[in-house]
Amino acid sequence: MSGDSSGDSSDKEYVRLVSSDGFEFSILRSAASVSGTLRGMLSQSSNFVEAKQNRVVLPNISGVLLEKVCEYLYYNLKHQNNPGNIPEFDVPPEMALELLVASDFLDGMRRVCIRNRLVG
Amino acid sequence: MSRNAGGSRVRGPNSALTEFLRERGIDANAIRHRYEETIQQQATASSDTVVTVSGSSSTSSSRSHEVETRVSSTSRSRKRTKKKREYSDDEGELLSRMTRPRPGQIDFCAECQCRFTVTAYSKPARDGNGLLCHSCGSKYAQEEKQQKKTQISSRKRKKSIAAALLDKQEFAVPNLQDLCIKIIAKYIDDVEILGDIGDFNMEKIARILSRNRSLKDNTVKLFLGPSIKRLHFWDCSNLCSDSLELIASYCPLLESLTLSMCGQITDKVIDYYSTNLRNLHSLTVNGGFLVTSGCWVRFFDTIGSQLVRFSVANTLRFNRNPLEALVRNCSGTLEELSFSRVGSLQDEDIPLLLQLPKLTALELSYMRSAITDDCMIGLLRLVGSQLVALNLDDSGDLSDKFLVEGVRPHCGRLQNLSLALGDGFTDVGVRDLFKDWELNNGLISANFSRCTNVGDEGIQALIDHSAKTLVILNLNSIYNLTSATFRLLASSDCEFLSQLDFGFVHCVGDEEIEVLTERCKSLQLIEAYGNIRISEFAKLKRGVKVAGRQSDSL
Repeated sequence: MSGDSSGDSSDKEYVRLVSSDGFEFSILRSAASVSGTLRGMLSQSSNFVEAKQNRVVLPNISGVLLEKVCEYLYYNLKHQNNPGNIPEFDVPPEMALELLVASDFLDGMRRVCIRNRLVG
Repeated sequence: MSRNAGGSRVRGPNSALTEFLRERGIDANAIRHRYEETIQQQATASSDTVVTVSGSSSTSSSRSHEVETRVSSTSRSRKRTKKKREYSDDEGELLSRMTRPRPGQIDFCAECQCRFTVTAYSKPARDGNGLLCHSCGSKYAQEEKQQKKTQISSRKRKKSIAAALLDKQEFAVPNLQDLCIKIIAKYIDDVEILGDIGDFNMEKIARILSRNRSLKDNTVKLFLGPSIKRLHFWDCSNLCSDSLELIASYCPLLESLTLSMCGQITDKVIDYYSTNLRNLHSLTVNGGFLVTSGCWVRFFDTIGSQLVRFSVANTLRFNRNPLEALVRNCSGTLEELSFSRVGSLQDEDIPLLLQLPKLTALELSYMRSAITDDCMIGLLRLVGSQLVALNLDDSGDLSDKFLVEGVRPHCGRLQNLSLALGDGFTDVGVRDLFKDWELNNGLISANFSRCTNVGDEGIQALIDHSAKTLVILNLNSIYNLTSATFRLLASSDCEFLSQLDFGFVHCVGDEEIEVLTERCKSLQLIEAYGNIRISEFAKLKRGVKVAGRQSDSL
């Protein structure tokens, strides 16, 4: 399951994530697609209002948490193709529990498998 | 620098380069001389052709003679120049360096044709003919730096891929959940309560904590709760017996409990479990060597009638008495039974198992002295027809007789068969088991690891029988196998085969592994430890992990 998006236009397309306390985060669609849940919600082939507006409201995730989530989404996107030597993703311990719940909800930020790296 | 002054043979110290050149007989003067000759020959050759083409108005004979001589001389000279040119190509690099303008001279850039002064740092052109000016040369400097960087990083990457393969980890960007769990595990002593994070993550956290050995008395409470039904602790070595008792107090509705490495578990704890865990139907205790046989007897007498799965390993206190109690109480319900490394059970105790008619999965591994052909055949005669899984690893006393008279006639439903370290099994026996074994529809997992007396015939019979159903196949250390077996495996259309282990089977090389990954569509993991003939050049299908190749870490 990879976070690739279909079509070139989605490369530069931005979507919005809204936290419970009203903070809006604008991120690349390809970054949002790292999360299975978000990908499904924003999928153009669905009839979700989120997909039509390119905007997802997350009432159970606070602004601080959502910022960290977006940071992770970009981290994952940036290092998708080279998971060998990547810098560590810092998670402050006080956030760890809530972040775990949030990431669980967002469909666990599915791993991006590296296929075909073993083709000789 | 008069070299041969007075014919002296004394040679002073020279640089490595000078020595090298002298050894090879490469002499700068000679090369320059030859080059100059070549240029001259080329000049005369071209002038010759000009003369012959233009021709003179002398008599034809004399002209033809002239032409002939001219032609012959030119052909001769052409031959010579050709040879010279060939020769000079061999020393092309040296030659071009000789003819290259020296630092300080003016030259024309090979790319942009601008005039520039040659320096010691002027880079040669990509195709080798000439030099580049400073700006054109520096254009490529960035590229070269990048190349070097990618080389180094690709080497590092290879190493980390190899390391990850050995751990059978997936090589990917870490999951956010896993990252959080790691942090939680690290700070577990500071965290008061974990809150609602789902059962699946609870288990994940428990697993990570066990890996970090952070599952301690002060942290175990975090995983207990009144609604918990399944609990699996992999490393309880830091849990004292009081903490283990807590499990029963805090999780009264527990149905399945697995405790590994629980050396501190005592009789008191087991007694408490038997009285408090009303719903318990599955218990695994690995390493609980302090629990006495009397205690086990009490346990079965109290709670045995509801046990569906029971597994005990690594204890010497489970002997005939508890086994009798088990059989007495659990005969109506017990379906899965596992004894591993329980040295206190002898071969005369095993027939007691005949009284467990509902058994579907049986493991008697690493119990050398307890397992004999006859007692196992007797057991299979009774329960063989309903056994789905059978594990008799390291039961050295078993022989072909067991296979042919025990497994073959009775084990029609068998799907998982593990007979590792079976040196008593021979090629013929295994072949006789699987050849035309119509009673059985096909094994899902087969483990013949370190059955060193088995060879091609046996394994080929296994493949013929179970190719369509096999998912896991372990042929580690069956070194007598030849590539014919693997060719058969590849051509047998094993569409579900996903894990294959052929470590230390010497015949497997690049060819075999390429064909296997090509033809077996579900293959995900290949363990190839000790297969020296598999190199880094083996072309593998996408998504297949190969662990243990020598070239991975080199």
